[in-house]
Amino acid sequence: MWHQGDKRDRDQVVFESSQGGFTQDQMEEITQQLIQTRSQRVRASMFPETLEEGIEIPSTQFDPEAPTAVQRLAEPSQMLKHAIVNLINYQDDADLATRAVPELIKLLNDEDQVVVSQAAVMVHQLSKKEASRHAIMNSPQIVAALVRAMSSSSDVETTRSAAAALHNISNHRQGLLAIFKSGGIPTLVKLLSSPVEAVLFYAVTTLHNLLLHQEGSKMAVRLAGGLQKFVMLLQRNNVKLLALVTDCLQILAYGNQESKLIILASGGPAELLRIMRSYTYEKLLWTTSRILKVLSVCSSTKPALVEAGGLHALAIHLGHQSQRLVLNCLWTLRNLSDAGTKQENADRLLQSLVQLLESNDVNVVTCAAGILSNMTCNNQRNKVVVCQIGGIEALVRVIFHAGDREEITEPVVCTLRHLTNRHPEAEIAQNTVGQINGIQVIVKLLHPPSRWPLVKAVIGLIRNLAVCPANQIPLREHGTIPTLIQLLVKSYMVTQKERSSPASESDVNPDGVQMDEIVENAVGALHILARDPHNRALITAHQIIPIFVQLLYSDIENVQRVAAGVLCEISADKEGAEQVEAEGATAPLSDLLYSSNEAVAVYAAAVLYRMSQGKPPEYQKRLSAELTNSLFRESAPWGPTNHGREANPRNPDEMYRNKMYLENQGDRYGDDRADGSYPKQRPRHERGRNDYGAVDSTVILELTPMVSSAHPDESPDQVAAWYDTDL
Amino acid sequence: MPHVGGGGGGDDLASSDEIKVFKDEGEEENRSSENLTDLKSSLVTEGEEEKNGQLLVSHSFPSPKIGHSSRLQESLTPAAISGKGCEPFSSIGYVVSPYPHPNGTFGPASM
Repeated sequence: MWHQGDKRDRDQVVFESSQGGFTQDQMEEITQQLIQTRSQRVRASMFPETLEEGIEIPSTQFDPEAPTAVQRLAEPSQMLKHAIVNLINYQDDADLATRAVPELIKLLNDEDQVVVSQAAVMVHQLSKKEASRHAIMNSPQIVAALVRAMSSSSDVETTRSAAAALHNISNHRQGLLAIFKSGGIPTLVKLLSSPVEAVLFYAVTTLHNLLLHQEGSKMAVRLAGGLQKFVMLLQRNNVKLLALVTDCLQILAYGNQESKLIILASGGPAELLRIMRSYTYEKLLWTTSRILKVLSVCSSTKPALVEAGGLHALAIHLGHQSQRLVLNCLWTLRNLSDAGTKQENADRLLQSLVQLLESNDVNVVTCAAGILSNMTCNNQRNKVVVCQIGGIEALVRVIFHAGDREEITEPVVCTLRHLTNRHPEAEIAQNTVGQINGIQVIVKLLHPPSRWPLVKAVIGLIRNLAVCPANQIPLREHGTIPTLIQLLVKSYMVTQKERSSPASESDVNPDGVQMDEIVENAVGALHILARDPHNRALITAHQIIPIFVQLLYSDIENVQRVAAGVLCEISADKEGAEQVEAEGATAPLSDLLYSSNEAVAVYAAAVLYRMSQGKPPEYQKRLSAELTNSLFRESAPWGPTNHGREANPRNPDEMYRNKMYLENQGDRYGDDRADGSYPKQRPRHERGRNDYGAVDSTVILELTPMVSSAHPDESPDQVAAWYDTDL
Repeated sequence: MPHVGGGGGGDDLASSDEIKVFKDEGEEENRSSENLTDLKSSLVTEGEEEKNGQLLVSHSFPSPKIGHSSRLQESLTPAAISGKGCEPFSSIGYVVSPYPHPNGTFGPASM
C-alpha cells in the first residue's frame, strides 16, 4: 500500500540523486525498474482490482503537484471502463461503443498479454450486442487487431475471445468484409488445427460464413491450405462439425478441379465414404452426399470413389425418406456409373434402382434409369438380375407414364435395349416386352417429338425385339416398317448431301447423333424384321431396295453388312430376289465377296446364290465356282486353311461341316420361322460373342449344292433351307 | 450429357451396348447451405458449454460484495487471469468498484 510518506521518501531520494546522491548504475537500475513497471501502472490505473495485494509499484511522480501521465490517465481510463460496463449492461448506446473502440484497439495492441486478453474479452462481450457489434464491424482496425491477437497469442483465452468476436461479426456482410480484408482467413485456417474445441468450432463456423458470403474467400482458403485441414477434420466424430466441414469442402470443390484433386490426394474419398456408412444424422449425410457428387464428376476422383466402395456406400441410402439425400446419392451414382460397370455384387443397388423407377419424382426416375443403363452395359450378370427382379416390366411402365418426356424415356429405352440383348435371358426379356403390350408405346417413340438420340435408341431396341418371332406381328401392326423406312430415307439423304456439298455440323450430326449411325441401325432393324415373310413383302413394297443396294457401296463395313444382310433376307423370296437383281446388286455384291469381313462375304454369296436360282446351269456353275473361290480363298482372314484345302474338294459337305464345327460359336439366331419351313433351332451358346461374331455356318452349308454341281431344279426345300442369315 | 459409344460396337451392329458418361455436378446451391445456420449456432454453443462444463466454480473479477482479500487473491492467480477455468466478465457488472478513485492516487482501492 502506498502512503504519502513513502512517496516523499522516494522522491526525496531521487531528488537527492539528481544532486548526486546515486551512482550512475543505481540510476540506471531505478530507471529500468520504472520502465518495467509502466504497464503495471497502466494496469493499476485501469484495473486496480487485478493487482496482487501488497505489490509495490514505484511511482514516477516527482512533484506532488504535477500528476504523472498515468495518473492523468487514471480517470479517463476508469471512465472508459465505466463506459464499457455501462454499454454492456445497458446495451443500446452505439455512440459509446464507437468511442470505446479506439481505446480498445490500443489495448488489443498492448504488449502486456493480460491487457490484451482482457481487451479481447471485452470486445467479445461487445460483439454480442447489436449496437456495439456494428461499431466493431465498422472499424477495420479493431478487426485487424482482433485477427492479430488471435494469430499471435499463445493465450487460449485471448484466442478464444477473439475468435468468438470474429464469429459474431461474421454473421454480417460488413463484418465478413472486415475479416477478409484484415487477412483473417489464413489465421482462421491455422486455427483449424486448434486442440481447443471452442476455438475450432468458431474457426469452422466463421470460415463457413466467409465461404458462403464473402467473395474471394474460396481462393484465400485454398491458398491457405484449408482443403487439407478440412479433410483432416473428417476424422472427427462430432456430427455437426462434420456437416459444416463437408459443406465447406463442397463449396470449395464445386467447379474447381484443383480442389478436387487436393481432396483426393489428402485421402478425402475414403473418409467421406466412411461417413456415409457410419452415420445416420440426415444433415450430415446430405452435406456429404453433396461433396461426393461434386467429386464424382472428376475423372481422377471417380475411379477412387468406385474402388473405395462408393457405389455400395451410396446405395445404402436410396430408401431414405429424405428426398434431397436420395437425389444427391442418385446423381452421384449416375456420375460414377460408367466407372462402375464391373463392380461385383451390385444386386442391392440394382434392386433399389428398379424400385425407384416407380417414384413420382421425375428426377429420381431419370437418374435411376440412367444408372441402370450403364450398369447393364456389357454386364451379363447385371442384365440377368435386373430381368429377374421385374426390371423389364418396371421400365415399360415408366414409358407408359412418361409420355414425350425424353429425358426419362431415353435412358429407359437404352436400358431395355441392353436387357434384350446378349445375355442368357435375352429372349425372355424380348418376349416379356411383347407380352406386356410394350411394343406399341415403344414404336410410338420413333415419331416426333422424339429427337435423334431417343430415336436411335428405339431403333436398336426394336431390332432386338424383332428377334423374338412373337413380336413380329405387333411390330408390323403398329407401323414399325414404314416408320423405319422413312427414318432410313431421311438419314440417308443427309449423308448423301454431306458427300456432295459440305453440310453444317448440325445437319450431319443433329442432336449430336451421326446420321450414318441411324442408317446403319435402321437397316439392321429391317434386316431382322425381314425374317418375317409378311414384313419382307412390306419392305419390298416400299421401294427401298435401291437404297439397300446403294449402301453396298458404303465404305463402312458395318453398313455393308446390314445391307447385304437385309438383301439376303429379301432375296429368300423369288420376287424379292428378282427385284434385288433388277436394282443392280450383282456388281457390288461380287465385289463384296472378297471382303475381309466374313459376314459381309457370306451374305454377299448368299444373295448372289439366291439370285442365281432359275438361271441357266452354266451360269450357276460359274457362280458356284466363284463363290467357292472367294469364300474359301487362302487369303480370307477367316482362315480357310484349317479346314478346306486338305479335304477333297469333291467332298464339300465335309469341308463345310468342319468349318461349321469350328465356327459355330455364339450364333444367336435360330428362331423358328413363321412358315415353319426351316430347321429347328440350334442350341445357343452363351459366349459373350455377339450375333455377328461368326459366320452363319448354315449359310455355308447351304452353299454346298452350288459347289458340287448345281442342279437347276434344286428342291425348294434345299433352297428354302437358307436359313436365318443373321450373321 | 455426352454420350460415348462403345462396348463392342464393332461386332454387334444394330444394338451394341452403349455407355453414357454423366457429369452432373448440380447447381451451386448456396441457398441450401443456409439451412446450416442453426447448426452453426448450435455448434458454437456446444463449444462454449463444453468449456464451461470444465469449471467447478465460475471465477471472475472480484465482486465488490466479496470484499475479502483472500478471495481477491484467489481470483488474481495467474490461472484465473489467463482465463483457464475462468469466465471473466460473466459478472462484469460487478467489476466496478463502488469506491471512488480520487484523482491523483492510484493503487487498489481499499478492499
